[in-house]
Amino acid sequence: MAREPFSGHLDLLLLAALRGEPRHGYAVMEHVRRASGGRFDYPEGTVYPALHRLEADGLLRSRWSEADGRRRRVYELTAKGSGALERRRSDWERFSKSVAAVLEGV
Amino acid sequence: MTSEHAAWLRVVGESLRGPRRGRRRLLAELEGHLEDAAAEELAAGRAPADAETAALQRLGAPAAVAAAWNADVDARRTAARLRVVAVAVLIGVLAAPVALAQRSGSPQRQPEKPRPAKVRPERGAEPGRVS
Repeated sequence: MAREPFSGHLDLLLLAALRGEPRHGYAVMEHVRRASGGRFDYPEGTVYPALHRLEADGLLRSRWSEADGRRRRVYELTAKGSGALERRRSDWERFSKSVAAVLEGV
Repeated sequence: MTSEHAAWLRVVGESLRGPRRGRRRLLAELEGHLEDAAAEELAAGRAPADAETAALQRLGAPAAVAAAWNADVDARRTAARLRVVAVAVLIGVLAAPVALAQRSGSPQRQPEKPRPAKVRPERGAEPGRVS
């Protein structure tokens, strides 16, 4: 799949990947890749600036965590982030339904 | 950390803008990601050298990572400057009516009345006694 659609909705995908479970950046990318059936193949390094931005906006919080001798920054949704996720999800569903309706009418 | 990974991280680090603390955290996270990606590639059956290279390819070009980071830094700086300008404008808008009211409501300055000249008693003369 082209990268552009992923890039345009990166924030939504990252928020969705953190719904219900805190994860570090690598696990976030793993989740997105697995859930999309490997269709979202994107430079993984660019996920971290997006995670920092979402945290600066108050949608995520993070902390260092150590497991198996490895130190990783773990992210989780804030209440504001959960609200933003639901709003963006609704927006996306409305948008995709509208596009589908137009395509079916062609 | 391999020299290939260290070189990649150095190029990213040299291209980043913004607060030092955030940059250091980003680089630490990228280093951890490289370790995890290389370990996964190794577990998938790649030779160690190939696994390291594959991990780097997964993270992408240093310029792409730095560009994504710097775009956010620049956007935050612009937003902060706009907030300062907005506060300054707001203070100006709020202060202007007060300044105008003070100017129009203040009484006009009256010319000073001449003060009566002080009369100094002569030396030796007792005050209040006429000889």
